[in-house]
Amino acid sequence: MNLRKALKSGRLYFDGGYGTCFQARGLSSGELPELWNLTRPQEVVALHQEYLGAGCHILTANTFGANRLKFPGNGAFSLKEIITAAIQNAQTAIAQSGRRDCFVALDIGPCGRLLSPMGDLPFEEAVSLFGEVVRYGIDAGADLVLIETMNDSYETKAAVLAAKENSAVPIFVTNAYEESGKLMTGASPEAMVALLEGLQVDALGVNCSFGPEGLLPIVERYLRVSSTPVIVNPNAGLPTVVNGKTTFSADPDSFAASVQKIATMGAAILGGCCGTTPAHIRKVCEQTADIPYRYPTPKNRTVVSSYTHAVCFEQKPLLIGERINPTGKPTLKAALRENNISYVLEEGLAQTEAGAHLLDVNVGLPEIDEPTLLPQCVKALQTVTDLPLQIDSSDPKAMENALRIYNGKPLINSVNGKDEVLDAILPLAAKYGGAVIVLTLDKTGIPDTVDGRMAIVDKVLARGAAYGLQPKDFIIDPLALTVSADTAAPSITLECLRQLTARGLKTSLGVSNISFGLPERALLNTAFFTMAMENGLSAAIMNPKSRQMLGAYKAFCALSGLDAQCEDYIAFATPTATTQSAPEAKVELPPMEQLKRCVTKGLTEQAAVVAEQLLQSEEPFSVINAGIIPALDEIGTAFEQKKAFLPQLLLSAEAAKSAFSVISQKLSASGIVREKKYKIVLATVQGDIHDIGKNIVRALLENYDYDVIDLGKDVPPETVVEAVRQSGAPLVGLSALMTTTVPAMEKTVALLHENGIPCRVVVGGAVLNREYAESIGADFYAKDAMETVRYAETLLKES
Amino acid sequence: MIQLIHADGADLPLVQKEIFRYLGYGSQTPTDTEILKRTEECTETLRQALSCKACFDRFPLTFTENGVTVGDLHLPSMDLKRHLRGCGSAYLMTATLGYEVDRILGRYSLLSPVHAVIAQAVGAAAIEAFCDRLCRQFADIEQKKLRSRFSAGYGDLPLDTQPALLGLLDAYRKIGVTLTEGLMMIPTKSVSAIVGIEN
Repeated sequence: MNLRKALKSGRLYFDGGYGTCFQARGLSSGELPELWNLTRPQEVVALHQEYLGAGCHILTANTFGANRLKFPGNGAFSLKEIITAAIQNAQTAIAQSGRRDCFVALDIGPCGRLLSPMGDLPFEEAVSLFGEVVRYGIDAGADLVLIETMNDSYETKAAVLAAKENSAVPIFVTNAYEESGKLMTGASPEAMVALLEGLQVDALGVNCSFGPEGLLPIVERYLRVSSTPVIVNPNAGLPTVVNGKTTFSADPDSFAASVQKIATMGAAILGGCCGTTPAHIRKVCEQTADIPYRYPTPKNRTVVSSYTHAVCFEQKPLLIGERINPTGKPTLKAALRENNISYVLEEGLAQTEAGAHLLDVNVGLPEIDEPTLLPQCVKALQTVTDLPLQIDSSDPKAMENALRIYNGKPLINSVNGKDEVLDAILPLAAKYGGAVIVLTLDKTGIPDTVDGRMAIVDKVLARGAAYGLQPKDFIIDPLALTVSADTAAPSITLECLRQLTARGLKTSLGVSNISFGLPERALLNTAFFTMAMENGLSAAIMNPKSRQMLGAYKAFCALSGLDAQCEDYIAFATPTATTQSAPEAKVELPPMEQLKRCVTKGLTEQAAVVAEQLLQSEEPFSVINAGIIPALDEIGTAFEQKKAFLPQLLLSAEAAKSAFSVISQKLSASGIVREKKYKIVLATVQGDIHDIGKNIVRALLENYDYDVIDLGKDVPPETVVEAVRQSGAPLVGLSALMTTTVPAMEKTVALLHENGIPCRVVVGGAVLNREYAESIGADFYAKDAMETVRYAETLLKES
Repeated sequence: MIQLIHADGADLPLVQKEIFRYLGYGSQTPTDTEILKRTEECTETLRQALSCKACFDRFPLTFTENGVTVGDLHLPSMDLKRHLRGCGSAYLMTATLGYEVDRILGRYSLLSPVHAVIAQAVGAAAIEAFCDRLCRQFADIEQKKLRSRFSAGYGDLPLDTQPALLGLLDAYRKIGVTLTEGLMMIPTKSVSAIVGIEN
């Protein structure tokens, strides 16, 4: 019997708990249950048989923790032997039962380590270790892959990709929720449904968590948004101790009573988890047999997600921040060329705070390695903002790399009517998930009629169907062309919006193209934006930091019944009390002294203002040398003498930075480049993910005019060597926090020496001291960030 | 029987004096309004993000020649043995502030060193306050005096006992606390410890 067909025709039942049942049969605490597949197969087969007797259709093979992290191959049995035996035990039980409506699930639980960037397990390593499990399971004849108890969306995605890449069998996924209604790492039920439907799994749902009754609200949320069959495998409530024995609060009767509600609500696949027994499953099967089965109805939701939440394209238009795009932005261009991601992160954060719902990410520049940089930026942005991202690239390789490592279901920008684009991008959308923006143009250009553009839409939708993509997975951009070139252009675009909306399709536009080449562009942009929204626009790619555009949006929402009590509009239009602190600087101080005081006191905003004033009478370099540098030295010395503390030192660094940026603007306006002293490579060593110390050192070094190449955290020795070789930096700074990562630091120093690279190495970190630093071959141990600066200065004097 | 505690931390005492102590101020309090303002900001942001969770269990202790056995787990450490002298049993505990706190620390670390440093200190004060509260609960249950918390990596208790200690409490599955290859705890604001119960 075919599982996908079975799923369409009636309710299926999973089995219940294994670990807890094995414990009742003598599994000792600390003993790995997966070993029983080979050491006590008769017990495993017997329990499978009991579950079949209770009425279940899907047996979960005893492979929950079987992966190479837990079974590295140094025990009595190999991973392959364990998985093969587990599948065979389930197959044996089915064969002995004589039933023909049963299936064996290869069971995959969390691998036990957390993925980078929150943890240190690289995404690809997770995909690879799950892939190995899938291959063994499929070779042994598993009928489906069950990915379960996952409490992290990113690990869930890695496991699903591994299943997709190594098998063609159905994929079922269940996640374990906390009482807050989120996964441990933050994803909501709606976000998980978006991610998993994007990945085109066959069934999805919840397991374990906190008993069937407590899961009801989460199940309800799943059923409301999911077009895919929903699985509910709860545990038998929370464990309690009665007379020294662990029992679960839900007995078979009360468990089945709750599951009955879940069946009535519409869950398609039912079963149990920890603490449930064949008796629980028997009751569930009995008590839900008469509840009519409904295959889920299509929900027709156009949705994207991040690692925390889903964003649905509905009646209220969405704002897509356009600022992370180097076109026409020289500062961003320069930052990207220097591999300076902080600029991208700041732009991402600013747009998030301005109220964008999604962020577009484009780093396409001719001389840039986009397939490397785009995923790097996407990953970094996902550490500073929880907004879903719109991945924007014309390079399919860059697109694939970014879609792969994105944590959630992204928006893909974009496809059009060209065959080669569709052939390259649609398979990626099907594999990795993603809603797709469709530009209504093809190899002949942009049609100048509504019908011409709609024909492209029809073509793309038809091609998408072949990849399992539905119309709801596409967002059509009918293209806004500049009105100065053709005054009929806006009406064509607006008519397209009307027709697309009437067809139930979602739309987006890059609004500001409309005004290209005309003065006072904001006037046209805001008017067109309002007209487009009135004609059904679902999302605009715009600058959320523009008050006019945001104003048009807020006003439209208020006037269209999309803003209850006009609350949003009022909040937007009411001036907030400025948070600017009262001017502290004494007016009678001479301006240079005022600047010094701003820097030593860490008054960031005032430092910029005073620097600006000073530049009207003073040379830029004299502001630096007579104002900022002496102030930095003063606070640095106070810090060394323990008269000032780290927060003050950093606050001064921040104030200095704001003054520097004013001066740099002035300098670059007159074509002068402020020369840096020399290059310094910084890295937190491999295996170490605590980089705050290194970041502090970087902030100070930059203030002292060093050209810092920051390699980040968890950096392999080879990467450090390569960076030093390429840059010719005379100084390398390495940090390590733990005794366990100091060997990686030693290895990095050794590799630099082996390669005969003529650089000095300064090291720092909580567990180091002077002797330890010497013993691993470092040139200098710096106890804090100021000492690193001082050491860098001495090298300057030597040279 | 492993027990669980989960609280949002809204009422966790985050004492400024403690935060400044972690920032290196000793017993001084900064007078700088800017520092005070940012400390309040970080405290508020972190408090919103707290998801305080703990799992713990009570184990009998047996003393061996070179250490202590907690339940079935032998810990080779003379320092721990000395620390637990006079105790018949002990609580093994793991506590964490959760992942959202790490997200905020990571965000600050990339964007603002000042906030990063202050937030680290707030986090340190918060996890200690949470552990203190937990230990007071143990003392209430036991109606006995407890020893101070002792963790892997203290004295001669090797850091590589950490996986087994977390394993005994099923800490990853129960409260999401895990280790990196280098044995760092994730979420970073987490504590695992042995707390002796005096006879």
